[in-house]
Amino acid sequence: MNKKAKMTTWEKNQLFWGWLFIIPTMAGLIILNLYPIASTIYQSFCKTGDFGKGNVFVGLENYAQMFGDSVVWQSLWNTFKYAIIEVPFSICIALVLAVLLNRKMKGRSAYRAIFFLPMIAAPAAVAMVWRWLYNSQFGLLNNAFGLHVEWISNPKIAWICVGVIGVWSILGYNIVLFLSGLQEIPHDYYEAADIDGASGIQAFFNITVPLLSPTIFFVLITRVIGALQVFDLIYMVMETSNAALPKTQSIVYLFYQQSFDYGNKGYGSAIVMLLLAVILVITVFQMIGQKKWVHYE
Amino acid sequence: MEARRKFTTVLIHVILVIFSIIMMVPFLWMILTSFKSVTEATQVNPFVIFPSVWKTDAFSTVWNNMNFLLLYKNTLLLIFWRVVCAVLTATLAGYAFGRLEFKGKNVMFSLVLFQMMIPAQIFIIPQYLMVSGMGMTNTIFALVFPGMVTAFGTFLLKQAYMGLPASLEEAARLDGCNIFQTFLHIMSPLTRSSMVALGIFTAVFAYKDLMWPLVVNSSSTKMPLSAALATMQGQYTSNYPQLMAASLIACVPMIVLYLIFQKQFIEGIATSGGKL
Amino acid sequence: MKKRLQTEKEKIQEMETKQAAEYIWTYYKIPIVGILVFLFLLVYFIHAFLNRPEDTLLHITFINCYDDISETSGFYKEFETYAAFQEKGTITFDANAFFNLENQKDYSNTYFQKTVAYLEAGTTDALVCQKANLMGIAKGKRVLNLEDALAKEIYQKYQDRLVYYTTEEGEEIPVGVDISDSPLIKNMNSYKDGCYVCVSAYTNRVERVKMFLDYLLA
Repeated sequence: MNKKAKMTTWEKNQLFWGWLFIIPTMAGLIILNLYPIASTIYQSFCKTGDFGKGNVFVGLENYAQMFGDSVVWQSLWNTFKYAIIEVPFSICIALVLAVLLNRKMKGRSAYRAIFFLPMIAAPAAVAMVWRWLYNSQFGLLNNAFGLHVEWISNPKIAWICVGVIGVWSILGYNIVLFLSGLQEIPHDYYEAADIDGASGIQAFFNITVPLLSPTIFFVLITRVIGALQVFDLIYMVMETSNAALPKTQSIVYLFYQQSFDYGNKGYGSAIVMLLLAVILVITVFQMIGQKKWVHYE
Repeated sequence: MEARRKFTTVLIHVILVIFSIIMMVPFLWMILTSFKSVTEATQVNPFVIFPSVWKTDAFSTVWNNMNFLLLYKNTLLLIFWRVVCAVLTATLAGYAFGRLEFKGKNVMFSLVLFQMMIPAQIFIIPQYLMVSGMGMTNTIFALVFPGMVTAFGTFLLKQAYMGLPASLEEAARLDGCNIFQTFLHIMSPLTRSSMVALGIFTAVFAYKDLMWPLVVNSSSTKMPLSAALATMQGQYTSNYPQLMAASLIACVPMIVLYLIFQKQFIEGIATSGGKL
Repeated sequence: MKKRLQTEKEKIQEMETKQAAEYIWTYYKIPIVGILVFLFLLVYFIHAFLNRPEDTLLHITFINCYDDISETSGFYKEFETYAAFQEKGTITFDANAFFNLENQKDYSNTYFQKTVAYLEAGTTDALVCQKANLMGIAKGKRVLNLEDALAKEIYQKYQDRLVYYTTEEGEEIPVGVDISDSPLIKNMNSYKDGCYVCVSAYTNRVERVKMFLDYLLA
């Protein structure tokens, strides 16, 4: 009896402090984000704009149009192709680099600073450099290797080239996250492994990866979401006249075009809903799947 | 054994140097361009890699034309408040989501994830309407406003708290600490490196954010660096040397801040390593 | 609770000042800091509220404008004198928007999004732009159809200057007023290849936009 009463105070405490702790964040998110999301959902059922005539409720018309629109499905497929390149490569490379950067060695701070630089480089510089690298006539890649490849205007390879830029630009962020996760792994584990005579690679797979799995899981979830929302990158390297654009434009690019260029906010909102549904399904599967490989202590 | 260890070290340095070069290309390009003449900077056939004459006019021109001290001040205030608000709210919420059991937790956390799934473009207009409705355009508050809470950071901190062993918390509770005290004195110091990572991310995003400052702070005295650089590019379309010189001057405080903060990573080991 | 407060109070009164301060700081620093932050924010908001911008009388966005049209320029001051608005408030000429909807690159989508936000929020009343941008913006259907009752005066007075946009359905809609031959625009360097004014579909200050047109074409 006594024990049960104690449990309830403990539960009450958790309820009180739990809500107190999340209230600032939840209040902020509800004001800043949930209301715009709700209005987007509403708008996806409307025909909007039209020279100041306001919103007209049209029911499922936008959705019906969207499901019959091959451009939408092509863009969704393009987005998947981009994510398939960006997510695994950026995570694997960043993980290895972060582990290397975590070792005690000469020049560690310098390396860390260098890997941070792309994050703050001017977007105009990043765009110019990549356009120069990929330029089919005067570009560095073609000149250096004596090739005549149309890197970003050939629909067959353009999506890979865009994906490479994606990996490059996201690497620094992933490294920062992995480095922070690595700091929370106690040293004792590695010392024990060292005594047992485990090699660096064995230690990596048997200690680092399992203990870092909460961070890896976080990076995976956020990167999948981020990659499926790719927009700036495609806007930056693909000119509107580029022949490969239909085979590389992402779903958010399409949304931007519909909502901003054509003023079809209703149709644009329906596209956002499709993207939301796709991300939701993938995230739910990842959440269920985490039980198999993510280790919480 | 010794030889093998040496070989590994060299190999690691080779890998890191190769990646360092790849990562640094745009930055090097910024530096080279800032010393070029306007024609050299935009010439495509053939591309000019090194300037024929190293000119420093671009730096002196932008330094004299742009009020960098004011821009630094606006940017640093923006970064400071966003980092403080984001780290504070995300730490609290991350702890609650990661370590406490209470009714409504899962629904609320789903909302956090839900927010991340929507492309950011749809938030601009409604958030701008809120700020202009409050009559707060052209203020530091307007700049900070959408970054006060962070779904990304909440999730990051939640993962960090979930990775900590339960034994510590139980020990603290047996010593008579309440939840807040356990959080403040025992658990939050252990997630220091995640807080630093969130701080770095928030700072970089605040520094790079262009869309929002352009919309809410159109007055030139209230702009942060990103908006001022974009305005400059708009006005002098193809003057790349000046644009790159201005961008380089703009980067300096960020690099300094990063070097200070990344030290926290290393100090983080000292605090968490001892206790675990 | 009351009892606890009482004992705490007695405890503190028994101590010396320095000791008491230390005691309060050690046990109550978090609430103290919290209250200070709250007070700071309160003062900040009151300050910001008292200094909030005056009502807008007229807000016009000049796209791709490199000339000086700021509050200290002759262009701005002369219009202010010409309009002589009775109400208190500000006139804004915003020249911070650079894009070309025919050939988009780099930052231009950010500026275009800003302009769309200003239109939809009702911040800006009219845009001054080149032909390509006029057609690009008309494609987004965020400008007023000048046949609308709201713009009747503009439509009647500037009938011979109207510029039409053809929709996908083939409908011709008057969306802009040609102001290329205005002496004031000719004085500028930014609009040598023609200049047009279009009215926001979200504005309720159409008659002031007409006043601006009158000023330009007087």
